[in-house]
Amino acid sequence: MADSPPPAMLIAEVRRALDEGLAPGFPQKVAANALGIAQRELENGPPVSAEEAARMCAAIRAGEDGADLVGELIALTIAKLEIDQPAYPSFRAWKDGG
Amino acid sequence: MSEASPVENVDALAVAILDAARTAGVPADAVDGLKRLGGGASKDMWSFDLMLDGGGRMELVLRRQPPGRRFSSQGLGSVAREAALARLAGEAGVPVPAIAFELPAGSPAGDGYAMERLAGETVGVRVLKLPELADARAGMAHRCGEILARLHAATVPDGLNLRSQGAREELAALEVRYRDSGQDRPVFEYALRWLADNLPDEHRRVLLHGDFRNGNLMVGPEGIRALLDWELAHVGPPAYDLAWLCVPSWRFQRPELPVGGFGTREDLITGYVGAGGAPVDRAELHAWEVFQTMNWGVMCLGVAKAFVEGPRTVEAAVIARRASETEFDLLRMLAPDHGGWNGR
Repeated sequence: MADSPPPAMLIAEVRRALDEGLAPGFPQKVAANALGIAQRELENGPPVSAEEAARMCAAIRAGEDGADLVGELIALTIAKLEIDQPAYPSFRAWKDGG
Repeated sequence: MSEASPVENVDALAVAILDAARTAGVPADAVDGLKRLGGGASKDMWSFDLMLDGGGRMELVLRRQPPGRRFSSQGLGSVAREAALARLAGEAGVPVPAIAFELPAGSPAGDGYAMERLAGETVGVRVLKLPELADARAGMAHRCGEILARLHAATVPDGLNLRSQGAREELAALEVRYRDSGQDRPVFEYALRWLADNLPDEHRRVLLHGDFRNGNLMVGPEGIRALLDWELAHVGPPAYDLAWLCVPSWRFQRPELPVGGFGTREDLITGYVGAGGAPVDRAELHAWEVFQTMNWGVMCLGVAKAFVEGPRTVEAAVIARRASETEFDLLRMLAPDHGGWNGR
C-alpha cells in the first residue's frame, strides 16, 4: 500500500470538517495543511507507486543493496518531503545548506 | 457516549470525586469549580478544587479514563497505576505533581487519580519560543539528564506488572507494529535492517518513563516543574529514555539542538552521569536514536491506519503524513555523507 491517507481521503475529511463548521485559527491551519499535501501529491504524482514501494521493501528485506540503494532512498525521501512536509525545519535546514 | 451517561454529567462526576476523596481519607466537604481541561481519545483531565472540612482548599487535577472506554495504553494496566509510579518517582527525586488520591475500583468516575494542580507551560513549541523561558531552556538538557538518572536508579516496583523489554524485544515489537500498518516504506525497511545489525543488546534494564520528551515536561521560568504522563512506563535499557528526548521531531524550529530543540547531547549526558547515571555509550545512544525516530514514524503510521479505519479528524490525517519527516531524519542519521544529499 502507498503512503496513507491518500489525497482523496484528505480532501474528503477537510470537506466534512468544513460542512460541520471549522473553527478559525489552528483548525483552519491544519485543514489548509491537509489540502496542501493533497494538492502537491495530485500535481506531482505520488513519489513512488505502491508496486514499486513493495518491490523495494522486498529487496531490502532480502538483503539486496542494488547499485545505489541509499541514493534511491534519499531521492525518494526528498520527493516525499516535498509533498508531505516541505516546511519541516530539518528539511529546510538541509536545503539551506545545513 | 450519550449525554445522559453519568460520566458525562458534571454533577454526578463531582459526587463521585468527593466519594473517592473521602474513601482515601481526605477530609473533603465539597468539590468546587469542576471543569474539563481536555485530553485524548481515551483519557480526559478535569480541574477542580476540593473544599476541606474546617476550611482550606486543595487545587487538583483529575486524570481519568471514564468507565466503558477501552484502555489504550501499551504499558500500565490502569490509569490509577500511574499514581503509584508517580509517587515512587517523586520519592526518587523526580519532579512530579503530588498525588492526592486515586479513584477506587468501581468508582462511577472511572479509573484514575487526582493530583496537585501545577501551573507551567507544556506545549513543546511554546516551551522553545517563550522569552520568559529562556533561562529554563539553557539548563534544561542538563536537568533532563539529572531527572532521568534519578528515575533510572529507582527500584522497579513489584505489583505493577510493568512490562520488561530488552533491545531485541523492543525491535521485534517495532517491526510488528510497522508490518501491521500495512504500508510499504522502504526507508523503514532499511532502518529495520540497520537496527537488526547495530542495536546493541542491553546490559541492564531500569525503570523507564517511556515517553520522556517535550510535551510531557511542564516548564516554568526557573526550569522543569514536573514530568507528566506515566502511562508508557516500563522496564528496559536506559538509552531508551535518553534517545526518545533526542528524536528530531521534537526540535521544532531548532533542528540544530538535538535534545528537544533546547540543548546538546553533551549537556544531557553530563547531567545524567553527574546525578549518578551510568556512562552513556555514544554509539549505543545513536542506535537508540535511530530506533526511536523510527518508533515515532511507526506511531504516525498507526495514526494513518486508525484514520483510514475511522473515526477521522483532519489533525490525524496531517499527523499520519508526518511519517515522511522521520524517514528524512533516519537517512540523515544513517547516511549523512552520501552523495545523494548534494543534489538539493
